[in-house]
Amino acid sequence: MTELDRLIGIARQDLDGSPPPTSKQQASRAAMVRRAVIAGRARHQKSQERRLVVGVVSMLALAAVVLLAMRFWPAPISEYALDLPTGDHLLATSDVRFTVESQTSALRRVRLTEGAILFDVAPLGPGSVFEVLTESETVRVLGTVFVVEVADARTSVRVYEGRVEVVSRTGRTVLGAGERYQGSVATERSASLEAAGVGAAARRTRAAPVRERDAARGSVVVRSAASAASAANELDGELDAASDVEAGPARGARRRSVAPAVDARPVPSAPAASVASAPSPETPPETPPETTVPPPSPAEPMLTSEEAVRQAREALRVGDAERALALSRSAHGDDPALFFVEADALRMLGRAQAAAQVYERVVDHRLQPPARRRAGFLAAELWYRRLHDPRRATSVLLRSGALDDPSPTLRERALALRAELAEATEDRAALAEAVRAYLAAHPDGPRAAWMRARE
Amino acid sequence: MIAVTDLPTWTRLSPLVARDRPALDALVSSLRSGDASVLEQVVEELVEPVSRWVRRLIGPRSDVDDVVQEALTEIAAALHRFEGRSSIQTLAHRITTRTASRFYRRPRADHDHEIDGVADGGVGPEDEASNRQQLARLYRHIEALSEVRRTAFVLCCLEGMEPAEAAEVAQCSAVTMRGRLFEARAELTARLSREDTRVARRSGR
Repeated sequence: MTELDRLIGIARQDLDGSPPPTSKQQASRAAMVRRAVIAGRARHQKSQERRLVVGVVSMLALAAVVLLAMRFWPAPISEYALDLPTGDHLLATSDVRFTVESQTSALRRVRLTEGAILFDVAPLGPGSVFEVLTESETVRVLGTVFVVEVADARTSVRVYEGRVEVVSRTGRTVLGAGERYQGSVATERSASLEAAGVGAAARRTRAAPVRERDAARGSVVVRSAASAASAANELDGELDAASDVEAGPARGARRRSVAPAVDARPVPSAPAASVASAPSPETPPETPPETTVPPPSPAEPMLTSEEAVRQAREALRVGDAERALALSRSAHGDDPALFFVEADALRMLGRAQAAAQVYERVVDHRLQPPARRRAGFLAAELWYRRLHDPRRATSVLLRSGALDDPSPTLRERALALRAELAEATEDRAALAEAVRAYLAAHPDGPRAAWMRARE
Repeated sequence: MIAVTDLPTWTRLSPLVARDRPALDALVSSLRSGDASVLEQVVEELVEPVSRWVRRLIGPRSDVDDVVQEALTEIAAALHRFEGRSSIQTLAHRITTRTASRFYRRPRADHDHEIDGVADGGVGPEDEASNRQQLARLYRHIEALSEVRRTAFVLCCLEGMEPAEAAEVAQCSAVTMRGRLFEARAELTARLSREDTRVARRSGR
């Protein structure tokens, strides 16, 4: 028996041999109970009051944070296209409020109450007028592409092509291409229409036939349009601080499309790169967007996720990562294959962090376990080998369950990665465990020698 | 292995035992609604075990009753929010362990263990004095342990709990509890050995 065990025996005997309490001790205990019950109740009430105060303060703080966030990071903007029978194209932000007061060949008049609209106005005949009215200004078109925005009851105008005349209470101003009226009033809504405006102006110089076809249709058609290529893509906004121009449309923006005030029917949308009215501003005029991405016809239905995946994989196979990315974001659904091709495309484009985060999304959104495990492994690989963040890699690898994948190949690679990560983070216990597990399961595996060196 | 005194039924009702659940639900309902008589009865039934746990956690000191009172007050406050996810015994043990840990963290001028008296197990006065000294010695070293090791040692070695049972009280895994117990024993053994060596050197042996 050790010295310690001997002392333990004495200590146990001390309490085991305690005599029963005397009546005095019993009375003392009864008093102790009463004091405990009274004080306990008071303590509980005080604790409840404290929790209430903390709860209220937390709610207020959260509300303040949300309000601040809404102030500085407003929700992504989506746009709607409206074709007038007179051949004018309008591209409006989702919060727009306007009415078309007149659509005759002699007078086309739009009253804009709130929001921003890009006007791509068909050529005016002799004596024809196209006007945009706001509360304080009248913007008179002289044949042009321009944006009018109303924000906080103030009006701003930006001209991309041609000329407009702005009439206000204080006088008249004629703006040419590249000029602005009250530019400081413009918000991100006008900015979201920037690329479309530049594109429409560029297209005018080529005299696109689309306008004449639409004019011949004679009906007002509203289609949900992809956001302009230069607008921050929703996924990029979440994942990547970089301001890369993305060929793909905002997936979330499309899903949240809401019909504007004008009565119209929705038609299927198309990937942004193929929408003739909104090409990327980086596309040089001599390279029509139609040649880089074949645009679907207006009657073509949106791609199913399977078709999008198939086309995206084909694009990846031939090295067209941009197209693959656009296709992966053009379909609806939470098909893991869409996430995978998206992440693969991002990886091919050298955007390792965005790719890793898309893989992590598969892990954290509770999709099918096989997809989660594979995505977790791929995310961990990127975080470790390309982004040099072994702790994040460890976290996602463990969360994904890749170490328990039924596939021996993935399990072997996941175990090897786990061991490397444990070494990188100086977690000796985890390294030893991973080495043991690897050698037990894969004694002749590709990393067996590495593992044995660390046994 | 020490035979733990059976606690009255209420404090031992367990959510893991199917036949206990109706009674446990009724008890939870009474406590949360502030039924004073039920609360008082439960606290009364916990006095004995809490006293024993405190004595084992901090040693037989003169301020045991203060710590017991504090633990019972905490338990009474917690019972108003009791949800029945564990037995009352387990809850009370957890709170008692935490209260004892707070006791150790308090600055105390007197670090000598005032052993009130070792229970009379049929030993003579000389043996009793010797046991008292041994107990003081043991608790001196227990006090020097870290909180987690001290808890592990007291629950497993002095209370006689299995590591899995002690883990439930300490809210850790059984593996962790076994590790802490191992480390606690190793540290205590080393301390006792060093003390013996110092004593031997001082006495010139």
